[in-house]
Amino acid sequence: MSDKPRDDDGRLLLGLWQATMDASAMRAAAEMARLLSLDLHALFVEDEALITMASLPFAREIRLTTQTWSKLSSEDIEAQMHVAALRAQRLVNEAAKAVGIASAFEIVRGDPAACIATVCRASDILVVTERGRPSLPAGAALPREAQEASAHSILLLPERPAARRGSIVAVPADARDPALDTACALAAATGEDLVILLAPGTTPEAAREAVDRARAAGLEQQRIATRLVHGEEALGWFATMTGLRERLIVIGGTSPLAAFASRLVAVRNVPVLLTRA
Amino acid sequence: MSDETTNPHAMPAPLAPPQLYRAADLSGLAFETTADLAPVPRLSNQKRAHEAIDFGAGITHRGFNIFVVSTSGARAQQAVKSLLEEASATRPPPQDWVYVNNFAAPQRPLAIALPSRRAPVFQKAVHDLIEDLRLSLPALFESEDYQKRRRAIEQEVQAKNEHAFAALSEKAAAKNIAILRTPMGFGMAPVRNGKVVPPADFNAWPEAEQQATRDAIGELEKELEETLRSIPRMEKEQRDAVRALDRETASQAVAQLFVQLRAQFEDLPAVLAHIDAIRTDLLENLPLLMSAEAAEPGAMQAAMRTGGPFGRYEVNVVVTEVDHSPGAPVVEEPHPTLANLVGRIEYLQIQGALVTDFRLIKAGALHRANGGMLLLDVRSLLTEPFTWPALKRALRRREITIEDAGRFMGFNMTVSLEPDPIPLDVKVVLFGDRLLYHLLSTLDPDFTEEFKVLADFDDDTDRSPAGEAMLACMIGDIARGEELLAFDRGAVARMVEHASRMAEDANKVTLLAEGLHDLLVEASHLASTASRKVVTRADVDAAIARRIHRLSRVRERSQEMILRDIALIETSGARVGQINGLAVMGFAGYAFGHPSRITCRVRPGGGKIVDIEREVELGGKLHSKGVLILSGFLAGRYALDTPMSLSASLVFEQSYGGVDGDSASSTELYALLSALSELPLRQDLAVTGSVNQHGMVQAIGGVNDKIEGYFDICASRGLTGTQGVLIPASNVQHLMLRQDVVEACAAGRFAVYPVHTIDEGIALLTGRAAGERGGDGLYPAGSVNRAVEDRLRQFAEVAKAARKENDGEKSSGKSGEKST
Repeated sequence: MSDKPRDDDGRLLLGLWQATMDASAMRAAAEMARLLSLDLHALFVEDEALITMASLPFAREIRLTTQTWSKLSSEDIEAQMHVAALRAQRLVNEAAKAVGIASAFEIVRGDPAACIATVCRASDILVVTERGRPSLPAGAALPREAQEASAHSILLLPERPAARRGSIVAVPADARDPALDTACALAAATGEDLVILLAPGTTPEAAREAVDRARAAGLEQQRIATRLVHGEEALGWFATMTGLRERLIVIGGTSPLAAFASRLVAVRNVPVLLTRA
Repeated sequence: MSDETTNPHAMPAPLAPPQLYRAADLSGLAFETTADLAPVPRLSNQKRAHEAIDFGAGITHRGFNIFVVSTSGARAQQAVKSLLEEASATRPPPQDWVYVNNFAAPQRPLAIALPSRRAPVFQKAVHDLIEDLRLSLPALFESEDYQKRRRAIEQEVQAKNEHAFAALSEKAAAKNIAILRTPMGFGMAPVRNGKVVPPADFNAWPEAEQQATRDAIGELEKELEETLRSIPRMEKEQRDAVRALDRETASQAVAQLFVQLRAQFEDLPAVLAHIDAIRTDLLENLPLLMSAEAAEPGAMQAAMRTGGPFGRYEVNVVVTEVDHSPGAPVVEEPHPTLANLVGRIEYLQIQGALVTDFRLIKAGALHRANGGMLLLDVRSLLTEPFTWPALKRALRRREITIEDAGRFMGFNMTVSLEPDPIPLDVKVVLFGDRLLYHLLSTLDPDFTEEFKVLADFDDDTDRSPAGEAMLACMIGDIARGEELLAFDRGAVARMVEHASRMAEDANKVTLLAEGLHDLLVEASHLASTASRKVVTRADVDAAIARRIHRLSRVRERSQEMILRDIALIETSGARVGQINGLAVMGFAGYAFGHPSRITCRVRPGGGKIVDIEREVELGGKLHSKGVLILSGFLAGRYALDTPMSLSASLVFEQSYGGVDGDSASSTELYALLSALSELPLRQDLAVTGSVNQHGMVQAIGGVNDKIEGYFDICASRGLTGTQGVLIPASNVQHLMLRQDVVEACAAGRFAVYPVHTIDEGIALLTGRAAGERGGDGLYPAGSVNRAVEDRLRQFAEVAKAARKENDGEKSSGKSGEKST
């Protein structure tokens, strides 16, 4: 495990439990932590509901690999969780080491949503992986965690994010949205261009202000582009992004697009950072 | 001619100087120096060989490959090569050949023929296509449109998945059951208020409620089972759909590229088939290629020279006309190892393992010469393992199969390739000497099947005015070719005379340019060192003398031994049963003659002549034959009415090396006749020549060297005017003696005697006539032959008496004792 991060620093909080995160998503999370100058904090939650289930006299599980039923005891489930935690820890360490950031790995027991809500600080960004491997999902856990942590910024990762170069897309609610500052910082860190999507009805002055803020953040004029969205519906937003080849989308928490963040991840297959003020 | 037709009393007269050396006559050739001489048309002096090469090169039937027999080595090879290149330049160029990947069986690469010069075009076109694909395909698969369609497929399957699971979850929830994901799979548990019911609470439930929950879970488990079972099928459906999308996407993107590629090779069905195979394979393996391409770092790729995953589509040009001059190729392979001949498969060591593919197939000389001519030195070919059989196999099967010597020897155990054989249409020209030609003809039955044309180069040519003129022009060619100084008339004449000496014949000149070349270079060097612009006769003489001097250490030591009386050779006086023979020694291409004493002792015996050299196994077969002929001569000429009762022994005194050849047989006969007749032989004369059973003296080799060898000894001791050498008369035409020998003969201080018969020779050696059998059947009294015959009769009498005595002893029971 890497150096323990300072308490007052923001962290990229990675919630891990019984379903281990895909290695490529883990790498993408680590890369994002580097770009945002955050430490990577992995929280492995031993779901107490599983332990309770395993204590029931008739408890058994159907295993995905063999599609056969096996009797389950609380010892079995704890052993399985231990192995899963070790594997998750190894992946976290490798991902952090690969990008050269500090990381921490913490194991807690309880309700996953409650645990994350407890551990998550105001300055943290919570990583949420897109559900949807063609295997069965782990219930409705992830949206719940995201909802529980709705006060925090959330990094939505595609299940298998494409490792590619491309512009940073900023979707601020307005020219003063901190999401724009975050996007500018990321564009500067990555050396990529910045594309600002302006909500319908944005005035030219507001647009100019947004560009000025980006320039003030150190970006050259020729690296900044704006696109005005036509239509309030998701379709309008998505249509505006046609032809873009982006590597990351940063959405302000109060932007109309924030409601479609999860869908955007699925459609564009790139990480989406949903910022909270 | 028989001995009866010659005059037994005639004493041979010494040869006149013009018979000892034939000066060159260049009066018919107008030139001042070799710079004025026209070049010699190539192989104009080798008409027979020239015709054979023309025939062999022109005939297309199987097996008419050419074997060039020549002792002039590289120069003949160069001349033949130039001739063949001229002939090949006007012939149609052969096809190009490429090796490409066999997608169905990669270990068996496919060979494809293309018209001349189109293989590099095909290679570049495919390479460009690959480069285009490497750049465009990743972008294509990252395009928004593709990603959108792919996500749609994945989401559709995922939605089905989720729908099924959601429905099950809802059904479970309605029964207060939760489906929970465990690290290994799924489990079910009763829930109350969103929490899993702890065991204690569950156990507190009424039995009926517990049972109902168990039953509900049991039913749901069956449905969960069914749902999970459908997942692999849906995943497969998704994979198939994504693959179809990949294929469709790529197919549309690459279609135009392939149409353009095909258009360039519409006339070549095999090429079109391969282009189609590339397209099929590309579409089939697209995801694999893309992921491999992304995973393989460029540096590693360069280091491994594997060309990345797209390398499988490259084209390996094995042979193309671009590699040689226009027309049919004429290829010379100076180092015909198996790999250099039939090609090879190279390997790369990657992470400790040897790997190869069709791109590492390298052409051999047969590939490069296919459709033209391949020139090989047969000695080099035969000394390389596996190559001769491989060449014969290729010619017999008319195809080139790449064979790996390492595999034959069991050195190479790694997986290798079996490339398609390439049809072979080549004319092989082997260069070798006569011995090799005859050995191959005799010992290898396949040889004459495959090499039906013999181009036999003459080593010499007639020394007619035309022949001398041709040689003069040839000297001019060498001088020009080597950028030597020009040679004046005197120098050229001396070179012609030396060429005659090299041919060992006053009526021939050598055609072995190599020997002439070295002398010309040295003579030019001497002239140049002396700041002369033209090479003169004196320079050539000096060059010859220096060359001889450099090689003369052994000769001088041999002469020194004689002059210090360590090797006993008398050059004056007369001795019974002792004569000076002449032998030739060779050293590093230089031969010299030296005298050797031959002695003979006789006594009554069983008619046997003992060749001591043979008895101690120092005599060769030819020498033994010569000695046996002496018995035939004696038996046929002397004491015909009595049994041969002679026992004689012949020996080369102080000879410690082997003796072979029959050139001393006349000498031995003279010694034998002297021993029998007890007439002394002159020691101031030396003798060479073989003899037949009729007493005729026959030609031998090295006559010039032998005469000069004896002359040197006599000259060192002081020429007396009586010294000389007896040579076969038939060797007179071979005389090209050194100038000092000729001058001594002209001054009467030395002599060379041509001898036709033994009678002539013995008369000269003994000073007494040989004698001719008279009407009374007897040789004249006082003649050599009479003395010999009388001695033989005497021996017969002795032998007869001895036999009688022996018989008497046997009848009186005294057998077992030997008579003397």
